[in-house]
Amino acid sequence: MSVETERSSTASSAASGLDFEDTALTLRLPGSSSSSSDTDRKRASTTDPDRRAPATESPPSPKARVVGWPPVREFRKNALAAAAAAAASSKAKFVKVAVDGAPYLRKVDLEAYPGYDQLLAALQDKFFSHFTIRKLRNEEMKLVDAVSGTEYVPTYEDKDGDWMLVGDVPWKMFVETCQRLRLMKSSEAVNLAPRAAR
Amino acid sequence: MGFGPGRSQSFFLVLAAARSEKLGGRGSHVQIGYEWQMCFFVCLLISCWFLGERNNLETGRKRIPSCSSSSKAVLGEGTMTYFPEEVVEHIFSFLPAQRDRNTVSLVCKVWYEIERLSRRSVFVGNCYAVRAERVALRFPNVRALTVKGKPHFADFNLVPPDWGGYAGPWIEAAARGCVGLEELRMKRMVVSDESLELLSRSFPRFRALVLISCEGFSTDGLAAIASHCKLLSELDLQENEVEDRGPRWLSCFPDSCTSLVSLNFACIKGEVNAGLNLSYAPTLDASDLTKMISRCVKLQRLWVLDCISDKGLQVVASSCKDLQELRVFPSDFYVAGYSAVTEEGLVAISLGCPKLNSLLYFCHQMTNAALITVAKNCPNFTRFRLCILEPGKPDVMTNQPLDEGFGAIVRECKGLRRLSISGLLTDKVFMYIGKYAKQLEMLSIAFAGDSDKGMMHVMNGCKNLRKLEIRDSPFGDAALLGNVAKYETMRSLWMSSCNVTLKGCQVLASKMPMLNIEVINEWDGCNEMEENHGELPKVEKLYVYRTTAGARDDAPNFVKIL
Repeated sequence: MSVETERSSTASSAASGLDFEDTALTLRLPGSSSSSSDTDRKRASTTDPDRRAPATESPPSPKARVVGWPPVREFRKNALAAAAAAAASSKAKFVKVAVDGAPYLRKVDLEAYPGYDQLLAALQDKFFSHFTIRKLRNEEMKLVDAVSGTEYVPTYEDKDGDWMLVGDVPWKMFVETCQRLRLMKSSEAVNLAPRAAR
Repeated sequence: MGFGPGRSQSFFLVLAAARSEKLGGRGSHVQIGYEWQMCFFVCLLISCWFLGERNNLETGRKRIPSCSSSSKAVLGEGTMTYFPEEVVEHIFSFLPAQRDRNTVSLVCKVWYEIERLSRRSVFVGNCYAVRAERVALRFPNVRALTVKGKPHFADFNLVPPDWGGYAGPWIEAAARGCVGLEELRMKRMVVSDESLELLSRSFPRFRALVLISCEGFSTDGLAAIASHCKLLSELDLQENEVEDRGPRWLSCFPDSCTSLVSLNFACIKGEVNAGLNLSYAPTLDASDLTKMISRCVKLQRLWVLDCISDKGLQVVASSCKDLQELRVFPSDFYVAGYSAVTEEGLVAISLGCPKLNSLLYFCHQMTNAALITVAKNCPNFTRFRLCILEPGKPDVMTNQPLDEGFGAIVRECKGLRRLSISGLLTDKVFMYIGKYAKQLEMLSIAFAGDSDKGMMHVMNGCKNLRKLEIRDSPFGDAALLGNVAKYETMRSLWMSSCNVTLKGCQVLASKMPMLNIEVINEWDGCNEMEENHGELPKVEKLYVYRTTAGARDDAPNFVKIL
């Protein structure tokens, strides 16, 4: 088929392609342009890195999912997810957590949490029920002891032995590289490794 | 009449064939054109038998104790006097296929009676095509009943919950009229615990229960089956939504239960000669997997995940020369993800497994060249389902639509009965399908085609089409109404997210009163549709099926039956 034929069929399906948008079943990946989904399909190739990246980094936004597609029974999807989860949960990563001023350390399994927020919430639960988590404008995370007013900064030791501020790198990378955690008093947290440039 | 019995039978058979063409799909749903062959065959059978038995027939044994009086009257008129019921019944026993039994039922009233009372197995492809009571009344001596409920796309969440497909009426009707029932098979139906309880108590000879992709019951219902079905030999539960109330039901099998031979809970373990199902094992190491499979040289059926990779498929191709069915399921459901199987694995399989006739293949990329090669290597496909995970994806090498590839499949595989297509496809592929896929019975279409012409090619060309299911394709009212008589010969049509309007559906309903036109709108009430009448609102989901039962009375409020 010539390219011209392709374009004209794109046009005709683009005209009816309104329906695709109306029914809110789009194939666009997060962040892609609002051109007709047909054009996207025809130009795409597997080697296009932009297409691949979003899927591997994080789950596609709802817009990128099509109802009832791929045609696999729910039973099978659930069974597979359960099997994969069972396999994944056998891989745990326990690291020591030290809090300045606390008499003993704790351990947390980093693999058990999907992200930073959940980890901090868990630390809060484990150590002090009166911590609050404050997120500052520049996305720095701090744990604040509501009773004493002491601020704690979560830090971690990476594979190179450096002490880093928690929250700079993507979660998965953090889980891989983190060796131990330390909730450092803010007053002492002045000499940490500089934040990676955004 | 000057006719001898042999010739009068032939006369009736020819008459029946002519009549049944007019009847088309009503009642017994006989295939047009097919019954010519069957009538000839039956005629031959009768004639051969008659030639051998001629000398014994003058006594004219006419015992037909279970026939109605009307058939006796027919009998008295001298058309069937030389064939005792047992003989005819014996001849019918050579025709186990439902199609053939339906055909012979049409010959005359006496044959209808004999056939229905001796029918052992009934298949109902659409539970709403006929009333349960009617089936139970017609076939009181049935031993094996199969009923299917929801449309196929219900498996993929396209049919809203509470749509229907209730098993209750069928089990109740059978409990009243068919106490000799031994086997019940149900697919995509809603089965309640109460129904299972009723089932377990109503049929003293019940021995086999098969539930596939059903829902609505819990392990309590299974406990009833285990407790009361003393002769149970087969319990097959595949991919059902079962509410798990604990393992107590397993201990309900009585200690004296020695009859159970087949117990299947979605996974097959054990003997790997006939079939191997590894499609629920994502953690199997690929090399262990291939090592194991390379030893299964007699394997006929293999279900795996795409983790097996193209390399693994090459091992399968070189080891499993008897392979007839292959299913490769996706382990990653994201449409833009990565898969270890590509078109190369499929080509390898087609080269190494010449007996392959059934394929379900999920992958992320395909080429026309690969499909053309596969078609040449495996012309014996009866079922070919290819699912490229990214909708509308073209040939990964040439960026062309996959029309030519699928065209080759339908052209070479003359016995193809089931086809699912995917990837970037234009109206051309449908032209090929309409032209070549003459044995095709079921076609699944998603994100394909350019215009109404596509669907029209299929409706006009595929003579044996029974089930057509379409989603997200630009087919509208013109295609829906292009060949309305066709729907009478089909079991059902499903169209979702297409361009069909309510007006089109109403026109179809008015032209074809023997069809149920179900318009399914999950969120809109019917009112909104009528208000927007002038703007021709699109119908979100449409399900059309032939029926002798009229509009069903168990439809939820989001289903409008025209």
